[in-house]
Amino acid sequence: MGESTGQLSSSQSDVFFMALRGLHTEPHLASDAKQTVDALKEIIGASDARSAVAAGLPPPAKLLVESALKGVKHSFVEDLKPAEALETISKADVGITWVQYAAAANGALVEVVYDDAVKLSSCLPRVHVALVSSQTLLPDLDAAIARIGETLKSGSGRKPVVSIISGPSKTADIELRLIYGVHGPHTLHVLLMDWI
Amino acid sequence: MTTAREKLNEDIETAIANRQASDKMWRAMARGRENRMTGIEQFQVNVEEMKEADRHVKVGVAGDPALVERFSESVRKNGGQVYFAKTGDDAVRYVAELAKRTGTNLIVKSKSLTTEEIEFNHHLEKEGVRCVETDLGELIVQLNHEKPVHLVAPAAHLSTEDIAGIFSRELKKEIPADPEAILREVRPYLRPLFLTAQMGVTGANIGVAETGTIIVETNEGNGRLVASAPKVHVVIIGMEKIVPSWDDVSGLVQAHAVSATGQHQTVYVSIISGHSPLAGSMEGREFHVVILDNGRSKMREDPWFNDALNCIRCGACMNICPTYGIVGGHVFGYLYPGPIGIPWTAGVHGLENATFAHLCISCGLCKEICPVDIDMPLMISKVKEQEIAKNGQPRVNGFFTSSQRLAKLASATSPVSNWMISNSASRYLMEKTVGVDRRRTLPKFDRNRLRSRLEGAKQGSGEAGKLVFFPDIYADYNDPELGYRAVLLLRKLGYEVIVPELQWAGMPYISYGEVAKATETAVRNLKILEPLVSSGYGVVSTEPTAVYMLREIYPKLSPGKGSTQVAAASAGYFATVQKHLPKAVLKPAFPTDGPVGFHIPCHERALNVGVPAMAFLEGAGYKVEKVETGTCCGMAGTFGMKHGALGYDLSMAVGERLFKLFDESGTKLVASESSVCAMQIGDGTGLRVLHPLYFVEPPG
Repeated sequence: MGESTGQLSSSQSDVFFMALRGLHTEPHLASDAKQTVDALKEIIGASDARSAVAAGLPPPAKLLVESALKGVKHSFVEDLKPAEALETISKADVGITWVQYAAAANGALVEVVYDDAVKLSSCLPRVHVALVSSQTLLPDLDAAIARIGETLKSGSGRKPVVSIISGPSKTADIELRLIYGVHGPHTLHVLLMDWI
Repeated sequence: MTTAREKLNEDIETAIANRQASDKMWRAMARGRENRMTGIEQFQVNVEEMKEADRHVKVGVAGDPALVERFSESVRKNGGQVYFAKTGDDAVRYVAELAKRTGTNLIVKSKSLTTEEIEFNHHLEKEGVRCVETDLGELIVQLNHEKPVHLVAPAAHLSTEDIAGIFSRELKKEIPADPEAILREVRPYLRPLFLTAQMGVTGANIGVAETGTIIVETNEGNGRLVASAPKVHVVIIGMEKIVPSWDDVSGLVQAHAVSATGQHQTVYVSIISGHSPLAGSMEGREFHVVILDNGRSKMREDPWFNDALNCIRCGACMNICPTYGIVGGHVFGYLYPGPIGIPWTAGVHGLENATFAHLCISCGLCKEICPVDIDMPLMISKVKEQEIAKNGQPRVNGFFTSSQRLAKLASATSPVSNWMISNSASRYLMEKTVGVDRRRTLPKFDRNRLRSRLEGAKQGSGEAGKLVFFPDIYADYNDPELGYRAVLLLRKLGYEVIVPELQWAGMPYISYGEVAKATETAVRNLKILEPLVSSGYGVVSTEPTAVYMLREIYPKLSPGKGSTQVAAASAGYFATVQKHLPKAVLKPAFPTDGPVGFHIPCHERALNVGVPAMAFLEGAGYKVEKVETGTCCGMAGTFGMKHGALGYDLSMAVGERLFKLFDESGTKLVASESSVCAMQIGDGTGLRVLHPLYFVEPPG
């Protein structure tokens, strides 16, 4: 192979970004905490968002998202009560979620959740922002599906619901013309963090 | 009372007359094929490897009761409830009772052909439960009180204007005929339904026995919403969708997407092993899997139809089917449309609903494009056979399945027979009595058959090998000169070539559902060919359909070592010649300045990777231009000779699209290997169409 690990991972993120662009998805790269917050702010600003939900974020990412959402009405889905969850998520303009890993060559995000409120945060808002750590990039869908299999086969207790997401919600049901945002997001942003 | 066949004929006539609708359908199908091809190229999919992998996963496994049991156990272990429904009614009853128990009065559904199969919505609404389709295409046809016209594109037959009209009616406001504008209305219309429905019903693309998991693939994301927002999630899965192991998943997920729409993977692949809590609460949240048999077990036990269970429902077969492309899935379908819809309808809805089988013209393109390599034409032939056993063989089909006997007679009585063929009064009679359309130019017959013509001709050295030439009917009775030139060129290239007395290949038997007679013919030909092949002979034919029969059909009609060997030894004429092209001196018989139009017969597509006949013409110095619609020319052997909607009319409707391309190409001369494709293009364009061998000077 000859290449150092660093080069390999940077070329893999190139492959990933190219695949994402081919899927009507907007990729962003953040190399430190500040860039991450700035990128989020920019996305939220450009989305004209008045409200947001965030879900499934690990603690450090949660802090960054909170700081990026200053001034925007928002909630963390984990704090919502069952009775209000659906309505709140549905009304949000932006959903920010954590993606456990991704298939670079396919531009596919793998979301592993144990609560449907988290899943609905990437389903219902018109803009979805997916946070991915570059450490979790896998080469392709075969590798990602193999990894999902390991999760499903291991452990006891409730199994997660896994979604492989490749682009925004789309349809070609009207005269085969592609249109985006049927039920779920019409825009998908992927924020790749190469520092986490 | 109108019989099912009369109704089919009327429906075809209406469909052909509605030019606008069939143009729309045709365009949509062409787009589907293009998308698939683009995906295959972009993602560098090896189609043959994919077919093999898909068959490896599905064959023998689909519908296996032991596997169903394993899957059920795994789902229960994950906390889900499983119900095995022997019939559609059982499935509907289970869900209706569940709806009652859970206080459900609204169900949201994601697209599921399996629920269409059991007319789920109709039955549940009778129980007072509103069912709303959430896939846009399904919603459109539901609001329009129609069935899906296509497995993947349910509303492909409707225009933007139609669809705007449907939603304007439903929402009681004027919606402009613009896809984006329609979507702006649909989203807020469906959103509260997603959020208030007590039950979500999905189908499943895959069930995995190992992990008790179901996989639902949607591009719109409605599958995700249906499976997670409502308290109760019900999956209705056909038993054939279950695969043994997680290792089977990745290949299928990618095969679905690339074959259906040319995507690498569907936008949302939901992998569900039970219902999850919502915001920490499991209150009222239930997960049910209804496994549906509804005729599948019987299909599994039937050696003719069990391959249909391996279908992954990608819809590619309908995208390429020439007659489907004209009449659409409402005529070419019952609840399951298209080529694969024929065996499925016969299997789950009964033979009486599968009369549309006669729309299949046995071009074989569906098998060619199928990601699981399912031999639909052969299955469909069997469905036709069963239908004919009940309702009789139409007279005109009987006429064409006696083509060999008729050819013998006509060649022996030529030139009288030729006079009859070209005389308008006798053609009028032929149309009235046997149903041969008088507008169709028929081939002339020759008294001097191939074998007698070859008497005294010089044999080849045998250095290149030994070959049997299989003339079929055309190169023997109609145009023995073609057979003569073909044999002579091979001999000149160093082959020892013999022409034993053989039966015709017998394709019309397949086309018209005479499977028993096709088998009888295969056995008789194989009896002669097998010992020759064992002693080192290869088999070639100038008629692509004959090679197709030897290679693809005979081994299935008469399975065994002999037919397999004959199949392996059989090759297209130009694939054989191609090996010797450098040393063959080909003198062009026509000026080589203008381009020669080229048509690839459907059965030839199945035989080669490239196009050897084109290489042959180019070797002779011609500039060759492939002219194609991406599907059949519409002639399909003798189909286009039959009088009426289910024959000449439909044949020409399909052909018209190709004729237009030939007109636009500006070619004056056309080459095609198939004798019948040549008739169709000749009749449709007025151009001169010849077998490629006539483009070179006869071998001296």
